Amino acid sequence: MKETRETDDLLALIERAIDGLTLAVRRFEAEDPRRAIAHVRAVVRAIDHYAPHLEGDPLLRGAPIPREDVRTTLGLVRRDLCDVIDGCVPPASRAARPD
Amino acid sequence: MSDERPSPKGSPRRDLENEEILSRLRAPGLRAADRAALEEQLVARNVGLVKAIAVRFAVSGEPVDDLIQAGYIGLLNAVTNFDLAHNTRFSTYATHLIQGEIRHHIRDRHGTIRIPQWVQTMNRRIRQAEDAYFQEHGRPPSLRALAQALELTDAQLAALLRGRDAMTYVSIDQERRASDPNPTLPTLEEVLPDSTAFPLETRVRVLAAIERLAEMQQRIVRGLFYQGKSQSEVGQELGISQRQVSRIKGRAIDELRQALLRLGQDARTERDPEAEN
Repeated sequence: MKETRETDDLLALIERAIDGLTLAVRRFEAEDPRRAIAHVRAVVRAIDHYAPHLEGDPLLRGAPIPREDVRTTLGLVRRDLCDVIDGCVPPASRAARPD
Repeated sequence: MSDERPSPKGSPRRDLENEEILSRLRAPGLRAADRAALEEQLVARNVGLVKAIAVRFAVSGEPVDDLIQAGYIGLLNAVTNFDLAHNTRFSTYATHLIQGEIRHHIRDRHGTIRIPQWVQTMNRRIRQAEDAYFQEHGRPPSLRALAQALELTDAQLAALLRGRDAMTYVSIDQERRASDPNPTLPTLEEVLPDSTAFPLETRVRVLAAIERLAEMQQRIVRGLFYQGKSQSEVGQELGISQRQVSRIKGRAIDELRQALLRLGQDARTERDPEAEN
C-alpha cells in the first residue's frame, strides 16, 4: 500500500485501505504471509495517521455520519488487523507491531 | 452424551437408568421421602450433563458457576415435567431445558450473547450461499454442496452450523434445533482450513475489515451525493471547489464499481466454482 505523509480524507483512506487489504489477501493466498502482513501493517499505520485528523476532515462536514461511528468503525478495523498481525507474527518479532 | 456407556445390549445404560428412576418416581402412592430420594438420585446422575452444557456457554462472559446454577433449574424442571409416555430420552429432554435456562440467564444479564465477529461473517456467507443455491436449483443445498460453495470441508461447515445453532435462543428455531439437541460453539481448530499460510480466522478478519470499510464508504457516498444536492452545494459544505467534489465523487464511484464487480465475481465463483478454472 502506498503511504504518504499528507493526511488523506476518509474516502481516500478507505480506498487505500481496501486496496492494501486486497493485496494482503492475494499475498496470503500466494502463501507469502510475510508480504501479506506488510500490507496489513501499512493499513494500520494509515489508520493511525488519519485518526488524529478525523475531527477536521472536511469530507465529514458534508456527510451526515456521526464522527463517533467513524471512530468506532476504524477502531474495529484496526483491532481486527492487529489480531491478524498477532496471529501471524511470532511473539519475538512483535516489536514492530503498530501500536 | 459422550458419558453414556453402552450396555452389553448396545443401548445407552445411563438413559435406561434415568428412566428407571423416573418410572419409580411416577409410580402411584409413592411416599414423599422416597420421592425426594429418587429426585436427588436423578439430579446427582445428571450433574455432569449440566456442567458440560454450562461450560459451552462460557463464551458469554458469565461466571461458569452461575451458568451451572441456571442449568440446575433446567434439570429440575426436566425431572418434574418429563413424560415417560413420549418416546424421547430423558437426557435429550433435559439438555433442551438446561440450555434454555442457561440462555435465559445470559439474556437476562446481557440482553444478547456476544457473537464473535468471525462467526457472524461466516454465518452471513453461509446464508448468501444458501440463498444463491436455492435460487439456482429450487431446493436447499446439501451439506456437501454448501461446503463446496464456501470452499470449506464438510467438518468445518458442520462446526460453523453448530455454532450458529448455539447462538440461537431457545425460543427461536426450536424445531430445527430439536434435530441437534446439543449444539455447541465451533472452535477455531474445527474450522481452520488446511492452509497454514492463510488460516480461516485470518481470512475472516481481513474480509470483515474490508466489509466494514466498504459499508462506511457507501454511507459516505450516499450521504454526500444522493440527497438531491448539487456538486456545488456539496463543495460549499465541504469548503472545497466543485471540481474537487467531482474528483472525489468519480473516485468513490470507481471504487464502488470495482467493489461491485468483485462481489459479482465472488457470487459467480460460489455458484459455479468450475467457472474459474
